[in-house]
Amino acid sequence: MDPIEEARYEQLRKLGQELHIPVSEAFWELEVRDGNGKVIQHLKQRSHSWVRNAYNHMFCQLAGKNANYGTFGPGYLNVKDTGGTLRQAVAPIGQSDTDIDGTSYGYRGPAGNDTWGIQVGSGTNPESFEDYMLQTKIANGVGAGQLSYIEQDPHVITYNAGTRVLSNAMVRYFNNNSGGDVAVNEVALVVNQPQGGPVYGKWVQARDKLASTVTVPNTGQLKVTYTVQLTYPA
Amino acid sequence: MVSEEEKLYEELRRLGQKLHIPAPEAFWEIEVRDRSGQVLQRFKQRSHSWVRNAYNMMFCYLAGKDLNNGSFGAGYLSVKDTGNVVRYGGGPVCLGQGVSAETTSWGYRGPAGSDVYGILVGSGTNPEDFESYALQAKIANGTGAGQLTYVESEAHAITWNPGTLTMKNELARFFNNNSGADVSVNEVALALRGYQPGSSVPYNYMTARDKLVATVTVPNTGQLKVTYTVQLTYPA
Repeated sequence: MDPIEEARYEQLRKLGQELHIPVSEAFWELEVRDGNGKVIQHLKQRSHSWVRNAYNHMFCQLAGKNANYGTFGPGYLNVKDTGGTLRQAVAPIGQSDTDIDGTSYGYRGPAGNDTWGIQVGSGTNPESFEDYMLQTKIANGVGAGQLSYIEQDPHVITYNAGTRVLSNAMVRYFNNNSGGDVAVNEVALVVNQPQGGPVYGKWVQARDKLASTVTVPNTGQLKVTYTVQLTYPA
Repeated sequence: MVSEEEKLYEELRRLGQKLHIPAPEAFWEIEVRDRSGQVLQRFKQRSHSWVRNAYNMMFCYLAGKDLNNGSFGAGYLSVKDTGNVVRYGGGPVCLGQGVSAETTSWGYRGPAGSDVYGILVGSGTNPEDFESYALQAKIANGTGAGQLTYVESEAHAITWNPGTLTMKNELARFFNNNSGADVSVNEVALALRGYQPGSSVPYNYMTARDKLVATVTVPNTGQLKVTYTVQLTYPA
């Protein structure tokens, strides 16, 4: 990760802690193993790209505000689902009165399901704040260019008492049984919202273009870890 | 507001926008009028004090995580209600199930005559504390000595500034003094009504408590207006 950029993030984190403004950060880590379990590629980078959906989500919850505008864009509160459909309702984005730690709702995608949770794709478009889906999602399966999406691991919460940083690491594995290499260039985190499920449904929180192509060899495995952290003032 | 401090907030906002890290900010605005409607006192200050409840709620939505730790404190994900009871369970805090969070039944808008959620005022002078879950000395709703009448919270007012790319939500509440004497206000808080995580039982949770920079005196027959503004600067 770029040391100059890292210095800026450190400055932001310190300012947030000093001024009691919650500053959240997110990271991606990708690891590829071959069919023998040997690590052949490893990449870690910041997630730069909470998209408009995520900002609107945060604002709704902070303000206790419904998302009820019929236009998607600057100044409007709603989300665009992964199908490109605008979703808004007389309820805040991200509302849930049920468990979001499991694989029914939340961020943990179930086995064999490429519609939510951590997703991977082959697209190389730059990141856009208006993104609502991967450019070119890699589908679940064993056909050419496909990966098998494994059930996402349970959340792992850690707290660093020294830095007062609370972290949540989410991990998902992808197996390549396609018969050929599969190139991964983009990653995304998609939430499946339960409250008013037919209303809000599945929407992207973050989409990042990888710093370099990650190649998963046939019979190899990709491990993608998405970590979100929040620095507390105390 | 202190100019040196404001420079730091400006730096934080600028960095957040550049680095695509959302940096929410909040403000209080206080206005006192006498019975004739003349403004006697008015000031604006930053809200410095999202408390642990607010950080935990934010984390659980960012991380898609239930608030399911039975302890409250550093490293634990839970909330503490205004009655000092730790609430946790299989879910995040929910501002009502499948209903609007903008009415006075759920969320941050307090109903008329209720001093249990919405914008609340108090007389306490304790410093702000990240572990706070209630006002130090809440001013009760009523017309007795030291009381104020809590009026129904105004509707949310959303504004968007395309120049600064800032989205703002203003929540205002009026308080009338029919107690027979002056009432002093030294602290303000914002509390929401929402479900216990993973259940359908409602409780009240404080998300911010600030000590005012100066005592606000509401004269008998006068009116206090408190406005809480939360804003988020977008990168685009």
